[in-house]
Amino acid sequence: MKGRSKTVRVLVSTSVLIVMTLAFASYGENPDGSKHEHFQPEDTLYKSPIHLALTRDGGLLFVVCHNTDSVQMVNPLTREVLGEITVGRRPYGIALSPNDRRAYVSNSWDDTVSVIDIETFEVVDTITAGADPHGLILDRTGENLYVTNLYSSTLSIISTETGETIKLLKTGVKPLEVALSPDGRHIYVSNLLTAEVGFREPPESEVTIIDTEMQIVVDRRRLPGTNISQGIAVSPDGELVFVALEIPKNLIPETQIYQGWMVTYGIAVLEARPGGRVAFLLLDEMDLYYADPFGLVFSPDGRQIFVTSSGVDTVSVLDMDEVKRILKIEDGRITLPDETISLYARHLGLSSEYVDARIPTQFNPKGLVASPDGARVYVANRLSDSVTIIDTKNQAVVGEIDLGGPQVTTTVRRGEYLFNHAVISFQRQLSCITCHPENNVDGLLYDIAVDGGLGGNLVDNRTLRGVAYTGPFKWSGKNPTLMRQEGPRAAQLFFRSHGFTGSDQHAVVAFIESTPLYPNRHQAPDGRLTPAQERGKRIFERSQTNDGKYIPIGNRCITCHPAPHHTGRQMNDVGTKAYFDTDGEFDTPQLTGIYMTSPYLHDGRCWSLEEIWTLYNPYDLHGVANDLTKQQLNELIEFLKTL
Amino acid sequence: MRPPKLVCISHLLACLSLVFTSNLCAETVLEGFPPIYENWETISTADGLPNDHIFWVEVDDVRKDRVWLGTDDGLASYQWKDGTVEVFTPADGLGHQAVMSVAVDPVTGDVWAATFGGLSLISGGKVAKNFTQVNSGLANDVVFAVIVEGRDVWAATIAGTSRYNIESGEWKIYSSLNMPTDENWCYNLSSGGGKVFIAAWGGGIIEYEVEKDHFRHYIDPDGEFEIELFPNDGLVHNITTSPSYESGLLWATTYFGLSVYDFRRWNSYFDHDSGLASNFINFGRARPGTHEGWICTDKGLSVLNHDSNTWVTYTTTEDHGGKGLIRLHEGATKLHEHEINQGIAHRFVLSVDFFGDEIWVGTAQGLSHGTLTPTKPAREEAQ
Repeated sequence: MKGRSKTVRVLVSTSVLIVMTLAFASYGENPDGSKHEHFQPEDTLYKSPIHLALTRDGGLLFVVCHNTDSVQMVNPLTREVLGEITVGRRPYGIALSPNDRRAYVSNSWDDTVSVIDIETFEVVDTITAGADPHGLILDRTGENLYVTNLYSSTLSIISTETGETIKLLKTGVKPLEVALSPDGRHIYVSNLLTAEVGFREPPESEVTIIDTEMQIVVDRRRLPGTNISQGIAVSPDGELVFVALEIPKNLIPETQIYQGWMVTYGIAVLEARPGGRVAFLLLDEMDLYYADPFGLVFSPDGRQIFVTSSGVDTVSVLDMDEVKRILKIEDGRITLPDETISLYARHLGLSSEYVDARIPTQFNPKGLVASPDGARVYVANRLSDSVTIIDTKNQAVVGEIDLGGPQVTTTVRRGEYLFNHAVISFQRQLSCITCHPENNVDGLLYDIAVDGGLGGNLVDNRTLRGVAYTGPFKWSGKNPTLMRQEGPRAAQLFFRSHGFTGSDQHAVVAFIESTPLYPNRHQAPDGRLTPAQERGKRIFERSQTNDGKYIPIGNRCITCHPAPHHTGRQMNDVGTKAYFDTDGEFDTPQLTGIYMTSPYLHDGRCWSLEEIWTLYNPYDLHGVANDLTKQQLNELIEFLKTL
Repeated sequence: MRPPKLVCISHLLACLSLVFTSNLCAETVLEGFPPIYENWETISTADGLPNDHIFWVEVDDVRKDRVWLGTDDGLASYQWKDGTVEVFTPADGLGHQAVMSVAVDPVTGDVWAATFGGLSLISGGKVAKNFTQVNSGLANDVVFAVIVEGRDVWAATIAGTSRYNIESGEWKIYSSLNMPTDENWCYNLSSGGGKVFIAAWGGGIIEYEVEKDHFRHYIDPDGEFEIELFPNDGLVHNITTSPSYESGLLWATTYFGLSVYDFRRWNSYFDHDSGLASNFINFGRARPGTHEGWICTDKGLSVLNHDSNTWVTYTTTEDHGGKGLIRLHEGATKLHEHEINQGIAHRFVLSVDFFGDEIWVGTAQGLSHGTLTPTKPAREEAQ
């Protein structure tokens, strides 16, 4: 017995050791730059519903579950989940065919669209889409599917009959959602990020308008002073287009609170006709903000507009008659003078005139859909794994649909909640995701007043994807860890509150550190470089100029940007100090994912990678590059985009 | 070269005798000859164009309602149904006021403008982006020509030809470092038959086979001579101003004459041995689906039916202004010449394009629109 017991103990000990070894082996760094140790099994099981679609008879509700790569079919009347099927990775948008026989789901990480037979609830086809497909919609015939491609800033037009891409149209920057005019003649596209504007100029997002008959872009409506355009919808009478968006105040010091501190949230109201005017109204109140508006839908009669504010767990209900009265809209035309339009765009005292109700939801409301009879609005609560049902007549919640996610809240999930919520911020002004949509950048530079005095030390926003091992953080390199960043620094500089503390601080850091790099379409699936990328790599690693001169180690690309994250994690002066910078040394940014983090340099002065070397490296301080031919520079950039 | 389709010269003369004392009748088509356009209208600054120097004319085959014009004062579009003119200038974000060439993407309808300050993309009625040598992979800001071939935009610059893939965003540069030429000054472009043709200023014609990533180089066999030492031995001169490929023929214009290559042998045409109005050729474009070359010279617009070596030239009675003049040649033989009240706007012709059987011509003094049948100017009808 003794012998057996010893054997058992040895076996048990060995097993424990093996398990621990395996466990430790799995700790640490993923190839995508995220940390293993934060993850718990439940983290892969949260549904994270993001968009919804309802059949024309209102009898079936389809829910896109972003985190579980699946779509659920729900009976909205019985509130029962009827089934769930797997689609591609990180599904985002959903559109139903006009005859309700097919559902199309964009798979943002796979660059595909899953085609679901609604009757059998099976995936019957997978269509190749563009890079990073998001919002999608069919035209009135159901023959053409329009899909935004966030990564490539394009819109795919796909034949539903053949599955072939007919056209790829250039949109604004990072197109997100799409809407079809009631007469079917136009598609409207919201674009997440600002167009390229001049240095220290306010952002301008774009609504791209496509003629569905010619299938060409017929208008690029600029929305001055705006960014993060998300939900978009056309009024049932076809006269107006509404867009949920942000109006940032990034160029003025953060100490400025009057008229909206760092950012306000609202809607753009566009005349639907090409070449029409644009006006803006805020969702916010004087001392209470409705952060991160995402989804937007009209009631079928066009009298009400429902907008989710994902950062404050609220649906705002807007009265269309009041909106028209305030903006003096007559026959689809905004008749307010330009001056008044500009005034209303930052007017915090107006919302009580047109906001009828604020309806609380569960956590992080995203997409929403109205029932055909207008009696109900269904809201996807991404971080509650639920759907809120709103009675539109009484403007009240009448129920929730539980989508069946884990009942426990993991540390990463808690962190994700904190990251996405503005409740920690003074007057609920902003959340982390306000400036880091999809955990990336918002394309803006900020005047963080405390860091450099008023008007000084403007800094470009930096991505949070794959940052776990890239500290120190901030361009100034002041934060050795994300713990420090998310604690007192965030409290002082961003939230103007107590900031994250204790377990919340750990949780939000765990969430950020678990954020991976997204799939890089510049990398071939087999990892091989193209000849041009290969030549670019040699330039990146070179030690001699074109004419054979020795390049000092400190002046080679690879010295300051070594693998795996392509940052040496040191401060460096690359000759980019501007007159309003107090210091010339900056944190060396990681180059992983550099293709998706425009603009560039510490103050965001470059919209393209090329400008770093064509304009701002006259003395070869940012790597010896002035001997390169233009073609060599092109090849270097082709390589950088693969990182 | 095949003989003319005319039954015989006497037949032609008989035909011509019918019309010798008067203008050729409406819808005149003489067998073997290019169609003859006797109905012209002029669109100029008086009609809203920003400038009468029309460097480039490009019919919009996507919208089918307008012609795009590269001018000395920006990019303009002229909508022929109602005479609407839309102008884009540097104030709108255009790279430069001098627009040397325009291309319409046949898939997206987006418009690309080659300017002296970069390559501008016009989309949705706005200048959506201006690509320059500092903000993109463009070889140089001085862009002389642009074409869209497949999903690539090609731009001829003074530092080589750039190739921009619209979908991937990748830039490539073809220059003396990787093309079979010492000349980087690329002046004009054309595509067809799976190939891109580059007219290099002093470097002849460079042919690039897209699928095979393979170059061929056509140069003047007699080097620097401004005359042709041996007839039809190759390109007439290395200072080329445009290539144009259509239906198996490569047309190459130079400041010293015209060359046509059927990929077996070259044919050369000069003002002294053909109906060509002048050896000083600004531009040439082959008419789609034909062996007709429309050659823009400093002394008029000459049209060659390459199969029959028959010519029709449109010019003016005077250097500046005057009446229109139509001249017919078979080979070097002038068969006929007559005046018309209104011809092309100016004899210094810079560009030409086609819309069905209508002709649009850019000159140094306005835009000309030619039709086979008399029509009221469209804008007058609209009024």
